[in-house]
Amino acid sequence: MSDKIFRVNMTTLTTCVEEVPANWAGHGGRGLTSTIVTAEVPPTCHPLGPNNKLIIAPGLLSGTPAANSGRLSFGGKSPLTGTIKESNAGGTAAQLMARCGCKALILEGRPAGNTWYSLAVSPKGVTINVETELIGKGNFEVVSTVTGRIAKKHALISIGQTGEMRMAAANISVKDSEGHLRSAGRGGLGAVMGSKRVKFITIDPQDGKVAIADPEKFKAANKIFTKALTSHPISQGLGQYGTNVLVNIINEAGGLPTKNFTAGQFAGHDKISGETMYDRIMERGGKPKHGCHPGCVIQCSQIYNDLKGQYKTSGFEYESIWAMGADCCVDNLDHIAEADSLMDDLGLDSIETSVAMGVAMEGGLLEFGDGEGILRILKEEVAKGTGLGRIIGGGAGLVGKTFGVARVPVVKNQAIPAYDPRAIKGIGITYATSTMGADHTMGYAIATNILKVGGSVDPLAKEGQVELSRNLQIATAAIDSTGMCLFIAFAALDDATCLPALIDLINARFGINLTGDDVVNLGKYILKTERAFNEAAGFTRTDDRLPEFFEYEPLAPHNMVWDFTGEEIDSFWDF
Amino acid sequence: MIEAVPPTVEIQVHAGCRYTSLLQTGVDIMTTVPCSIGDFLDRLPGFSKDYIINRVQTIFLNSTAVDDMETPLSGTAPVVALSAAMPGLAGAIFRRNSMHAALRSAKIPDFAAPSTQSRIIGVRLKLFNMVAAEKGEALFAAGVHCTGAGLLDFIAGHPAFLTSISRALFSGQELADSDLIKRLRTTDTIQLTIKMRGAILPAKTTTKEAHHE
Ligand code: SF4
Repeated sequence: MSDKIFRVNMTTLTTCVEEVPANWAGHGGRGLTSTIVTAEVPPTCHPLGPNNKLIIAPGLLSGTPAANSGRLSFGGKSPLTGTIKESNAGGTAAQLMARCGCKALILEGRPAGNTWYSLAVSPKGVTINVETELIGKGNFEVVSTVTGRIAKKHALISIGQTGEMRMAAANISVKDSEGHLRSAGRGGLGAVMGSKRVKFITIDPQDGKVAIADPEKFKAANKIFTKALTSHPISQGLGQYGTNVLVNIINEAGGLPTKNFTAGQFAGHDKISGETMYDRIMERGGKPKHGCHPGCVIQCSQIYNDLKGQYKTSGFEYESIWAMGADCCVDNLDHIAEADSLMDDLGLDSIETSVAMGVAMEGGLLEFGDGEGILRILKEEVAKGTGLGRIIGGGAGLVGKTFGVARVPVVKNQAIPAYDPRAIKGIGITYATSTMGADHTMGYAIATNILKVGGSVDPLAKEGQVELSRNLQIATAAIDSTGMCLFIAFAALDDATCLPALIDLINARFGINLTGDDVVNLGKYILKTERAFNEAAGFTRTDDRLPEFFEYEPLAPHNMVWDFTGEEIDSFWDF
Repeated sequence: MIEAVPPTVEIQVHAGCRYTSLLQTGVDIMTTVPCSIGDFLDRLPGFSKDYIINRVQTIFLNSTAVDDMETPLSGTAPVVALSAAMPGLAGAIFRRNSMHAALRSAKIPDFAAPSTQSRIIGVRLKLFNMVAAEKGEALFAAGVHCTGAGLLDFIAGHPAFLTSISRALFSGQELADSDLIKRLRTTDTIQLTIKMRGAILPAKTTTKEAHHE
C-alpha cells in the first residue's frame, strides 16, 4: 500500500485522500509535521483559529516490526508558545495509522456551529461523524465507551475536557495496547484539536499492511538493532525503575528544581524516587515493566496501583513526578499518582500543569506540599472550567501573571522541566534555543559521536556546551522523524552497531540508500525549518533566553547562577 | 555525628524482602583516610574493581560528579553516591568520563587537599538503583551505621518491611517489632545489620533490655 495524505476540512466537513508531494516523501514524524506546518500554516495565525492545522504523522518506521518504532507525532502552531510545535506519544495509533497507508492526517479549518465530531480513519480515508455522548467527558470514559462501540481492534486518539475548553496546557492522548493512555503532552495541541471540535479519532487498519521494500535486509537490521537495545545496561535500569530512576541522581547533583525552582535538592526525594516507586509497585501487585506500544523492547513504562491494589496510573514518568513532587514539595507518591491520573483523564500536560501549581503555590494559592489541595483544585476547578481552573490550565506563564509572581520558570511561555539549568547548564542552552519552548526532549538524543557531529569539545568552555547542545538537538530532530522512542539513543551512543542498523532499517523499508550524513542533514533541515517558521511568526533571538531570575538567584547547594550571555546563546544557530 | 560505640540493631528478614532502597538516603561507613574514592569503593563488602569500573557508571562526591577514581575523599563527612548507567541526557552528563560531561555546570569545586594524617571518619554512602539492588544485601550483612530516625522513616514508607522481619535484636537482645520501633525513636546512631533468613545471627533469646544509652 502506498502512503497518502489524508486531509480533513472541518469548515466544509469534507475529507480527501491526496498523493504525497515529492518534497514530503522522505519525511516522517516530526520532520513531516514541521514541513507541513511550515508549508501550510500562516505563521502569524491564531493557534485556535481556522488557519492553524493539526498534523498527525507516524514515523518513517511506524507500522513495521522495527523495535520501539511506535511513536506518533502531532504538529501545529502551539497555543501555549505561539511557536511551531511537535509533540509525540506512544500507544498503538502510529502503527495502525501507518497500516492505513496514512503518511499524515491533516486537520484544517473550523466548524461554524457548536456541534462536536469524531473522525474514523481507515485505509479508504476519513469519515466525519457527529459526536454528542462523549462531549464533556474525560479521556477514560472516551476510551471505555469507544472500545464498547467498536468491536474490532482499533487505535484511539482523544482529548479530555481541557482540550474541549481549549486550555493552553491541554494535551492529546493515545490509547495503548492495554487501554491506558499515553500523551503528546507539551505545547497545548489538545486545544488545537478542541478548536477544530474533534473529540476523538479512531483508526481501523482493516487488513492494511506496511510494505517493506527489502524484507530480508529489514529483518537482519532489526535483529541487530533489537540486540543493541536489549543488551544495553540503561535498558535494564529503565525496565526496572522507569525514567523516575533519575530523581535520586538529579537530586544528588543539586539539579532537581524544588519549591518552584528555589533549591536544587528536595528533602523528600527518597519518598518519590524510582527505587521507592519500584518497591511500592511490587508490594501492591503492579507491573514495574510495561511497554507503551507493541514492539517496545525496553519497556520503561509501569503500572502503579493504589493502596488497595487497584490500577491507578501508568507511564508514571520522572518529569511528571518531579513536577508534582519536588517542584510543589509533595512527598506523597500516592497523591502524585492520583494527580497524574486526574491530569490524564482531563487531558492536561502534567509538566506544564504541575509547574503552574508550583508558581501558584508561590503566589499563595496553596501551601507547598499540599498534595490534597492540588487534587481538589484539579477536580473542582480545572475539571469544571472555573476561572481559577482555566488559569491553572493556561500554564505556568499565565499563573505567574495572574498571581504576580516574578519567579516563573518558562521559556517561550512553556514550563521548564525537571533539570535546573543553573546546575546543568548544557541543558539550559537547549531550553533557551529549542524551537518549541523549554523542552528537555529537544536535545535528548545521545548519538553525537556515532553521527560524527560532535567535533572537538572543550568540556570547560561555554562554546563546547553550545556545540554539544546543537549536536544533540540535530540528532534528536532526526530520531523524532523515524517514529522511534528517544530511549534508543543510549544504545546508539555505546553500541557502534545500533545507529547503522537504524539507518539500514529505513533503507530497507523504502529501498533507498541513506547515509549517516543524510541523517545529520535531516536533523539540521528540521531545526532550520522550525526556526524559519518561528521567525516568520515574530520570534527573535531575544526569545531564546532563560528567565531573568536564573541570573540573580544562586541555586543551592552549588550556588551557581545562569551566566551565558545572549551572544553565546545565539552562536547556537551558527550552522 | 557518629557515637563512639553505637548500639547494634540486627534484623533478620524473610527472603524476598525489599530493603536495599534504604540505601538511597545513605548510610555511614567507617573508613580510614586519606583514601581515594577508588580505594574506598574497592573495600566495600561485595564490591570488586571490575564491578566499580563496569557497573558503577556515575559517582558523586559531595554532590559533584567525579571522573577520576584517584580523587581523594574530602571534607570531615564526605558523601559518596553511586549509580548504574542512567537514561536521559542528564544521565549521560553525569556518567564517568562521559563526552557529555561538557554539559555539566563549568565550575568544578575544589576538592580540598585532605590532611595526610591518618584517621577514621564516617563516609555517608548512598547507593541508587541497580547498584543498591545488587550490592545492598552484602553491605547490610556486613553492617553499616545509620540513624534510628532514618530507619524509622524507611519503615513508615515501606510497611511491608516490618511484616518481613522474622527476628530483631537491639544491642543483642531480641525485641518485638513494636519495642524495636520504640528503641529506634530514642536512639541517634545505630550499627545496623540486615540479613535474609537463613543467614546466621548471634543466638540471643532474652527480651530484657540491657543496653544503656
Ligand atoms: S522505552 Fe518507554 S517510552 Fe520508549 S517505547 Fe518503550 S515504553 Fe514507550
